[in-house]
Amino acid sequence: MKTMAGNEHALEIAARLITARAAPEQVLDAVLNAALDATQATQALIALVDRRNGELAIQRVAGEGWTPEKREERLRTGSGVHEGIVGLVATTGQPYLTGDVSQDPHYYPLIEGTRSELAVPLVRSRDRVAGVLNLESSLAGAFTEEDVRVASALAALATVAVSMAEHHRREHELAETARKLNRWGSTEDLLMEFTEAAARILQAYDGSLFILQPDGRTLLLAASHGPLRDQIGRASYQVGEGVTGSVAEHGYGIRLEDVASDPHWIGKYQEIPHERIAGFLAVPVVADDGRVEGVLRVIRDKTPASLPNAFDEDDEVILATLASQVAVLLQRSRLLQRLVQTERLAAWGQLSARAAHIIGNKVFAMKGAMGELRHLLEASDQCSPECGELIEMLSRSLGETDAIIQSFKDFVASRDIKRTSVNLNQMVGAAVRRVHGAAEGIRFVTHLAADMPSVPGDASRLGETLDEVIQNAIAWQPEGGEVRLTTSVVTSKEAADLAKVGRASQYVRVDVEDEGPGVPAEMRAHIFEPFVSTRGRGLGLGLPICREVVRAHGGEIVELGTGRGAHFVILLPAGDQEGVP
Amino acid sequence: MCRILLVDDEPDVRAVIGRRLTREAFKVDEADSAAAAAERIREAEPPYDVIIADMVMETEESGLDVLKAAFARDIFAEVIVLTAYGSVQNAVECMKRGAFDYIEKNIPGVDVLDLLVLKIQNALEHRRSAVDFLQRIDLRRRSEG
Repeated sequence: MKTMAGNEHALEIAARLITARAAPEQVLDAVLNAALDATQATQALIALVDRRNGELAIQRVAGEGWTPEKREERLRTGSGVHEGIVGLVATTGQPYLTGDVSQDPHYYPLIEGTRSELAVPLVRSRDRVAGVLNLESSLAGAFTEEDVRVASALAALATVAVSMAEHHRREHELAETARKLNRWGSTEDLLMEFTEAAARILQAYDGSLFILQPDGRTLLLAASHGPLRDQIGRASYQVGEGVTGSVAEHGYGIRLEDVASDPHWIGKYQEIPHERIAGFLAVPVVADDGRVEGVLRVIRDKTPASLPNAFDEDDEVILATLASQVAVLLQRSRLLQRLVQTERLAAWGQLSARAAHIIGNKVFAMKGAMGELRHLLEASDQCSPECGELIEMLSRSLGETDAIIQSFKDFVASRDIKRTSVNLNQMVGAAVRRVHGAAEGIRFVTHLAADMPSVPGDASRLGETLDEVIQNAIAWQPEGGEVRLTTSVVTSKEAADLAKVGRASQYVRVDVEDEGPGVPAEMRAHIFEPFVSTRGRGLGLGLPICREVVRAHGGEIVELGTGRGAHFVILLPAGDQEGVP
Repeated sequence: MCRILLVDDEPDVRAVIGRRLTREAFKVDEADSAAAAAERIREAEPPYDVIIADMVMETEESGLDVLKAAFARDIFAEVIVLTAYGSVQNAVECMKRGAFDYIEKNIPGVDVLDLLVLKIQNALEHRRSAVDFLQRIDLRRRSEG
């Protein structure tokens, strides 16, 4: 018999289970049993929306007549076929009561002998339906409006239990993901795990991560688990291209339900065909200095039976949190790479310093012996012209060996700088005067910026760097060619667009352009690496030394490859820096 | 005749410098470490006029040890420090502590032995004028006393 006291008692039991943080299954079972007690129903079930594909699936059942097959059933919705009362309530979000199922167009037989049915929605925040509590009875007209009220109250309790379980799951997964981040592993693997975790936490069908390349224009696929997996390292968007490129361009997240209707949508790389996408969510990966470093995106699948299943604000907050972790990961990987490189350079530097010392002593002894030999031969009248030539050749070779060791030494010492206040305009002028005599038939055109701020720098090392870049231009210059030197002041943003710098507020820029053949495209990435020489002379340490010196100043040197010939740009942080005497 | 002590741990370096300086009519003694040099400096009678010492031998600062030993024996000692790569900093330190000069062993395009001979001559000049000066002061003091 139905009693008010019984209803209150049933509600109290379910509520107590929730506050006791019982497992969600336990709470749902308590809710179902309470519902059976309070309404005298013969069967009860709770079906929940599977966020991955938007379909309804039976979670827990109570009462008579359940077979394992029936428990496993996925309840169809929306398609019009087998819609059923549960599907209807999930779609409308309104309770539904029928006293005679045989007369009801929505009824879909699940249990034999059912006469009455009552279904109430489990409503989450923002009117989203999380599932349905369904009650059936073998009696006609079994349920009353009071039963609707009690079932709705129980459904609300079930919703709290389901939401809390979901919240705990996400929290746990997030913590787990954060732990993974602290494990050492290859960055590629971690990015893959991360993208997978993002999809799992948000109950998405698939997720992909695109990373902005050093050119600042291309987003390259770095991680994906589904069909795009084969395209990792190849699939790319330009910044501004499609929804993904648009997220990178504007730096804010985009949430879509019907992707094809968005004007930005181009469907260039899709995890699944767009007609199967129930929800699309993309957020920017933002570094701590505010620059966009990539785009993390997830999608939800849908079937003809799916309920609306787009991502909501909470999902966006979570994905943005994950994206910030990706930014940390990228930064850590960069720091680690730099550390390894510095370590390697330091070890290499020590080794070469010692080697230079030993070789230097030997060269010194050889040169000395050569001088004595020349002296002896000259004194003995036995020095034929041939003899003299050979001695000259040996002396020259030893002199060149000296120069090579000198460049070794410079490379090793290139990060050791002593700062004073340096005026780049004066420095360019002086450098041109130095080389002018030695560069016959070459015109130097200088454009110097007015109001050039000073640079906290090592005047002698920066002077040598300029010399090297100018010598490099001259070496490739055709007769009668023109070498242009330009100084200017650029903002942090402009500097960042040119090269990976941008910590200072202002940069001084020196352009050195020539009219030679330019740097071959395949060489451009390597010209600043040690022992790469395109001129076929020397040790290939000239430009690497320049780069080390410029980097030691917090700047960067790049070859743009856009001019007629080679086009080198040196960027140095201007004025008001730390460490200026 | 001027007496020179040449200190370097590299036999080939000692050989060429020794040969060249002998040709310039200097009397050259050799030592292969700062410790050996200190002993020779202590025992030399009269003291060496010029001491040429490599900066880096047993340690990065061997040149400094030779410098100390030289001044302990003779405050007018003239020490020229030789440096190979990377030890200019220490050589500058030697200058601060009274070395006459330092020479980098490898200067591209320069005959360093010519340079060394020139610096030795300068050092001798320096030493002579210092000794002369002291003798004059000494004479005056005696005549006044």
